[in-house]
This record gives sequence, structure tokens and C-alpha cells, in this order.
Amino acid sequence: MNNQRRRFLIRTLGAGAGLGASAVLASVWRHPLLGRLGYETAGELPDVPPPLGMARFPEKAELILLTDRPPQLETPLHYFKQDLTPSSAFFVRWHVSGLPTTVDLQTFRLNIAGHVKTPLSLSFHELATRFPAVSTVAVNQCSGNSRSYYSPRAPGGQWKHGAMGNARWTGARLRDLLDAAGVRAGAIQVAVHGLDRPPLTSIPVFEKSLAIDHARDGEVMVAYAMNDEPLPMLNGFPIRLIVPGWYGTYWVKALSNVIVSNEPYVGYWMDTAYRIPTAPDAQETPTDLAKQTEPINRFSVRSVFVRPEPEEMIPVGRAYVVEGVAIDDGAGISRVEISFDDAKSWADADLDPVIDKYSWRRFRLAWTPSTPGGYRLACRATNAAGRTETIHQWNRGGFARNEIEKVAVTAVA
Amino acid sequence: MKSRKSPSPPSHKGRRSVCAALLASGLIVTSGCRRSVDVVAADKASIASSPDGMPSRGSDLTTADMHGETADTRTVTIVMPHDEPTFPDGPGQRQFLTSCVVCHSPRYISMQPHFPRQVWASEVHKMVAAYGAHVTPEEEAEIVTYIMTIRGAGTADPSNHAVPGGAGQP
Repeated sequence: MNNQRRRFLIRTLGAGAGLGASAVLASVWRHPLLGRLGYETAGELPDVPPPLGMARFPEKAELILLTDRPPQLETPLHYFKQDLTPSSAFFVRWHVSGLPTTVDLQTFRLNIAGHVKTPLSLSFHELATRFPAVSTVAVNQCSGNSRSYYSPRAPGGQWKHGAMGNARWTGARLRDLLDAAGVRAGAIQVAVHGLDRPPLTSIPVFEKSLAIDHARDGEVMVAYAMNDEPLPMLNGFPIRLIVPGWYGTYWVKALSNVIVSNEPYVGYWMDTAYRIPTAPDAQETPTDLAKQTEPINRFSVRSVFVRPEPEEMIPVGRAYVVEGVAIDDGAGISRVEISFDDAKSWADADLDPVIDKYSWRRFRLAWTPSTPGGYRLACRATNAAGRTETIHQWNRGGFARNEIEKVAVTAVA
Repeated sequence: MKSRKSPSPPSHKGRRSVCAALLASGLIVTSGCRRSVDVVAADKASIASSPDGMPSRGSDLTTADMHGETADTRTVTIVMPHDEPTFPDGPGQRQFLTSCVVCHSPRYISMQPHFPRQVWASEVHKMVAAYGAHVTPEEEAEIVTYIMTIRGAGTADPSNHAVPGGAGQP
């Protein structure tokens, strides 16, 4: 019996315990294709690759492989024990298969056009030398980070917690670029897209929009360096947009076009994709889907264990330092609590010093399990604006997760 | 070969160090100062999950860093590895390969959990309605039938009762 099939049966049996296992099995056997394909027994469903493997892509360390074309690569959790995520280990997520694999800096230009006085066409050299350089440490997190933990499951990239990372970004303020072009009165938003192109003309080009005031807030940046080095191609070489405190869908890679407009933005990747319920915590339920949705925007407050990892064995009677990272949208993480009894009682974790406004903040707490057995740990962050995490969160897209994360470990004598 | 340093601890480095890094890596040149640059090349790529090893990028890397050229003319190139799984034969396989794999890897299916038919029908229909896949309704049904053999779930498994018609979760 292959592993997936075994897992499927185990899960099916477990889920159906109240119904009687035989009824559940019967539903499996009723699958209309099984007979026709000749798969008469439990062990012989078609063999396909396991959901996740490991892979090395150009300029990248070995990462968790979700998809290869276009590439979606996840950072293994252990990298988050460092304050900064190495560029080589930083997660990768492209939307369409026509991503740039070669960039000629002689011809590459960032074009700033639309509702401006003087359209600009800036070379990499000009970007790096003509405008004041600014530097910030900021978390980038995919909108669907941790989607595989949703219950019920949501279709989409099946990330664990590794579709995020914390890096130092250096570049030019988008405001300075817009000022150089001279935004005309009446501008309300800027559209941004990069060099990537879809494989069919019917697929909308990946393009996002920011309100003009957001684009000009002095924090949104066109970055030409990541951790003080050129960006890896798969992370957006030569330049990418940095939108601190906002989900990664806005951090357009291989940024090539900034289009200022005095008209409301219309486009698939804002109007249809990447929508979340307007309700608090982007909540909805499968039986009561939200009628009102909005484009995903600022990070939810959340915290994730980096140590222990799931199913880890921990020695009884010895201090074990639990640690993790907490994220918010820039107000600042002010508290992280940890529970060792499945979110019944809580203790304050120690917070590491603040790294930067939009960086994650690390937390730690020594824990000495007194008796052997299973424990469910939980972590809950709160930020300076009073926002915190919730015991259960769900939406159909699997977006903006801020459910209190739990990890099951075993204490052993 | 471009080598990468370990990340340094967080600090607010200014323009000088980053410009120095860009200069060192040859991505910018100072005004009036033309200098030769290193070959930019990514590491050899290989896919660990591939049973027979992946073709590495190796020597087919291209660079414009040829004789007489400078950083201003630098071209950076990577070569993407090819590592697409083979999916088993079965009813609908040909349609699946023709209509789906033309745009994306079949791993878009194999990374998913087991979903009931209505979820897969919705996902496949999204490819037609939102992305303009050239697929007739009959072909859609064939594709759904095939995907059900790979990542289908019986309706008695409540953990997979996701809601079809998600808000364009890409």
C-alpha cells in the first residue's frame, strides 16, 4: 500500500469513526472509476508523486517543492531560527509559467507612466545611484501561508508555515520615483506588474494595485538588494516591490511597470483573486460564505512555533526552550503567550528586542515538562494595536491565517 | 560562480555597503569607471526528489560578461530545471495532459489533498472561466474524472468538504 493511500484510508477511517468504518470504506469502494480502472483493492490506486518533495532550483538552497512550473518553493522551518532568512532559502511563488529567467541589465527598464507629468524609464544603474537608498528589515509572507492547516482544507498552494521570510531590503522609495515622474492631480492608484507573462493570452497578466497614498507613503520601496546582495532571479531579480506589512501578493517581482491612474483599478488579480471576507479575521464558514469581500491587504497578527517542530520528542524534567516568530502589520508585537495545555492556560513568553518596524519579532520561553506523555502547545501573539489571534479561523481561499497555532509533542523520560 | 555570503545580523546598513555589494557583484558600475565583472551564475540546480537526478544547469549558463563588456551590459540567466512527474494512465489522462499541463505542472494536482468531485469540478471550471483554458464542457468532465483518480475523495470524508468556488485562490 503506498503511503498516500494509507494516509487517505487512515484519515477516512478516523473521520468516519462515528459512522462506522465499514460505511466509510463502502463510500471509497463506490468510487465510479475504481472498477473500470481495475483498482479493486485498497493498495492499488494510481501512484503519483507525494504531495511534497525537496528540490534545488537555480540560486536556491534545497527547499520544499510544491510545484515546479511555475515554481512554488517553501522554506523549511528550521531557517526561521535565524533573524534573517537567507536569500537562497527564501520562499518562491510565481503565478504564471512565463517567468523571467534571463535579464539583460543593459536593456532592462523600470517604466513609470500613466497619470504623470514626465514618464520615466529607469535603468538598474539609475535606480541604484540616482535616488536615496533606504534599507528596512521586513517580513514577506504569502497570502496563503499555512493554507494546508485549514480545516476544512482549501484548494490552492498547500503551504505549511514556510511561505514567509524576513530579509533586509534595500532600494529606492517608490515615492521618490513617483515624485521624479511628477504625479498629476487626481491620481488615485498605481498598478504594478513585472516581467512575467502567462502562457495563454486569455490569462490576465499578474498585476496588482495600490492606492496612491499608500504608494507614496515613503515605506513602499523598489528593492534592488536583498540581504545586501542582488536578488536571486526567482525572488524577483533585478528589482521587486516591497510593501511592508502587506501580504506578498503585492510584492511584485521583476518589477517593470508602474502605471499611475486617475481611475479606479480594474483587474482580475484584485477584483476576483486574492479576495478575503471583510469580516474580522477574514472569517466565514463553509455554510455561510461571506457576501462582502475585499482585496487581501495588511498582515494579520500571528505567531508560529519554530521549535519544537511537530511530533518532536522532548525530555522530561529538563528545561527546553520553546521559540518562534510573531508577525504583524507594523504596529508592533507587544506580547506572545504560550500554552502547554492545549490553550487552556497561558504564560507570557520573553520577546527578543525589536529588529525593525516590519520585521518579525522572536519569542522564547523555557519549559520543563514534568510528566511523560503528549502535550499540545499553542502560541498567541498580540500587537500594540490590541489585535490578536483567534482559536479558529477559516475562509474559502485559505488566506490571511491568524488561527492560534498548535503543535503536538511528546515528553519522554 | 556567484557565491553567497551568510546573512549578517540585522542592522541598518546604508547605501554604502549595499552599493559596495552591488559593485562587487558587478551589477552597477561607478560613473566613468568601467570594470570587468564576475560571471554571474547560479549554482548548479538539481532536484533532490527526482529519482534519477536532474540535469544540472552547469555549463549552459549564459552571461554577457564577455571580453570587453562591463557591468552595464550584464545579463543574468538561470536555467530552470525540468522535473515534472509522470501521471498514470486512466480515463481522461490524455485530456488532462493536453488541457492542463500545457500551462502548469501536474504538481498543481499532486500537491493538493483529496477533494470531493464538486471541489475539483469547481477548480477545473475556474481554469476555463477565469483563465480561458480551451476546454469544452465535455472535456472538463473528462478532466475532473481523471483528477478524481489522483486526488479524489469520497463524500464520507468530512475533512475534505472544502467549499467549491473559492474566491480565486491561486
